[in-house]
Amino acid sequence: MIDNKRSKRLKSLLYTVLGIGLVIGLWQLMALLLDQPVIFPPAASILSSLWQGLTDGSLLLRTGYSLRLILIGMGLSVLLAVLLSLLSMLIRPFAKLSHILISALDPLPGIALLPVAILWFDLGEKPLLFVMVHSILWPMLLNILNGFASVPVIYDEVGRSIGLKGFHLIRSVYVPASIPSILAGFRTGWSRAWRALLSSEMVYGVIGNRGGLGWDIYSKKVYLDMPGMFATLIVIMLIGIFIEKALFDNIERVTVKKWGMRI
Amino acid sequence: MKKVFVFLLILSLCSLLTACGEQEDPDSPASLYLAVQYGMQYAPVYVMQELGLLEEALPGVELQWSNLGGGSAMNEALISGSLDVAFMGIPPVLIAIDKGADYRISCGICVPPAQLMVRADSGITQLSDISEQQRIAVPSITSIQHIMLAMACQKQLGDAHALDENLVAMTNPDAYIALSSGSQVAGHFASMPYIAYEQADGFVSILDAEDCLGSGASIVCVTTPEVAENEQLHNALLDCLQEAISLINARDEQVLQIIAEREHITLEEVETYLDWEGSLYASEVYSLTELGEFMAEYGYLSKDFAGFSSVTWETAVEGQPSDAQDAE
Repeated sequence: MIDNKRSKRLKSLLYTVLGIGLVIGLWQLMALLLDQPVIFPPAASILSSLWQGLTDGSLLLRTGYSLRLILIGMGLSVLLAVLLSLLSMLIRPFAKLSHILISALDPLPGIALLPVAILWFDLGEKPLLFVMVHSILWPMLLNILNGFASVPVIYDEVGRSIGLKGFHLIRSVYVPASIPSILAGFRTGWSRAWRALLSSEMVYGVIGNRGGLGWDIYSKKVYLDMPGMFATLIVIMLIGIFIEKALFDNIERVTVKKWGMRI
Repeated sequence: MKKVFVFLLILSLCSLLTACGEQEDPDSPASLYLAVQYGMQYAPVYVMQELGLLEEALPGVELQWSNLGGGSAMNEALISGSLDVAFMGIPPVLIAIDKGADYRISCGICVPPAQLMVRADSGITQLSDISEQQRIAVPSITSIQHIMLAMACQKQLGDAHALDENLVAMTNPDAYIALSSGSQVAGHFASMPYIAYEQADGFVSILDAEDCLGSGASIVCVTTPEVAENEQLHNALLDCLQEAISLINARDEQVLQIIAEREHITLEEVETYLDWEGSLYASEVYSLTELGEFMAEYGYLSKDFAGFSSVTWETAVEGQPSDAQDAE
């Protein structure tokens, strides 16, 4: 049984290494065919730039800065989403208001609010957090409310028949039954947070030279440091894969998969 | 079946990427792709455009105009092969050539005024007064304003990168609003007409192009080798730009009207801004060598600057600061 598991893991690792190798090989081939290093830098120069950025600490500093802001933004958004969804469940007219807010504000791109955010909060981290919370909150709230709405009536009736009501009913019946939808909301919020932060930094560079990965891409772009720019993009992709595998997959494993809600 | 699908997917991706690298033949005399930016410093270009000078000089050549928002976008368009002629500041051109781009400067079009404006109540009278929290807005990193500020930092503070942490990249209108709203933006390295707007609002100048460079720096016309090698095309372009510059300098009424309409300002404002101290419309290229040497010495370029002729076509004439002062 253990051997079987280990061989499965080895196989998965082998496929990952082969996949990465194939992508690098294809990239190098394209770079050789095109022979335009500024447009399509060779894989070797991208990897060398990535290595340099990691060893001199510059990429790690930028990554740390971006991750810190994203975690604060996610934290604030989760708090607000939980609060609004609880209010929506407990007070019916509030649910209608939440849906109107979602319909009106969710389609509004965060970057469009950045000029307003700068006027309201001045430069620095506050306008970035405002844009991020706006980008994360509405899809997250929508997913939570949709999850609650799709809970079968019989679950609600069973909960009530054993004496649960109000907050206890939501915590013990609605939340566990809506976990797949809530998780989808977290995933969307996470990717929206990245997009909001990177685009804000790239468009306005509102935090000067002390910025995160968006500022890093912006400054490398203006200096035509294409290998460096691709290296930063690789870091962003790696963080995405890591969070997906280490966080979301594990939460899914100990919740929805364990409870038999999803295969 | 799955393997065949994956193979086809990779194959189509490869062909797509190859297609991305294909460029239209820029040597084709049938069309010429030109891009300009916004602002009065580009007046010779849009005067040439409005008067149809280039169409007259190059019958049969279809002119495709576009507006791009900065030197970085110009570099990307030139490198990707979607542009033949671009009008931009000197530093982004030097960075692109340093990275291996094959385009060069054909001529100058204008030396615009540039001033670092600060709020009168900010307590800033020189660069050393700028605190860690105060921000200086420049149109973008590697813009001429950014490099001029670095030159002034080197002169006044002994460190070209002393204010790097204070920089914020904002367009002129956004920086004007930020400066006016009493935000952390305490200074704006502005160009016309924002210098005039900010001066009228009580902001004061603590630094100008002359303090940084000795004279202003040119906005230049950049052309690809295909254009420069096509003598008829290249000469026609340079002659038309020179004609537009001469008309601006002669304060031709029709030309003043064109500028007023383009900039949404009155004729009086046009004349005021054209006569502004430090403003010069000329085809000579000013301050290129000074900028190149500074940028190479302080790490903005990766290689040594090999001189004026290494980044220009033969048509470019180096302007002397004394000539600029006489012309003003």
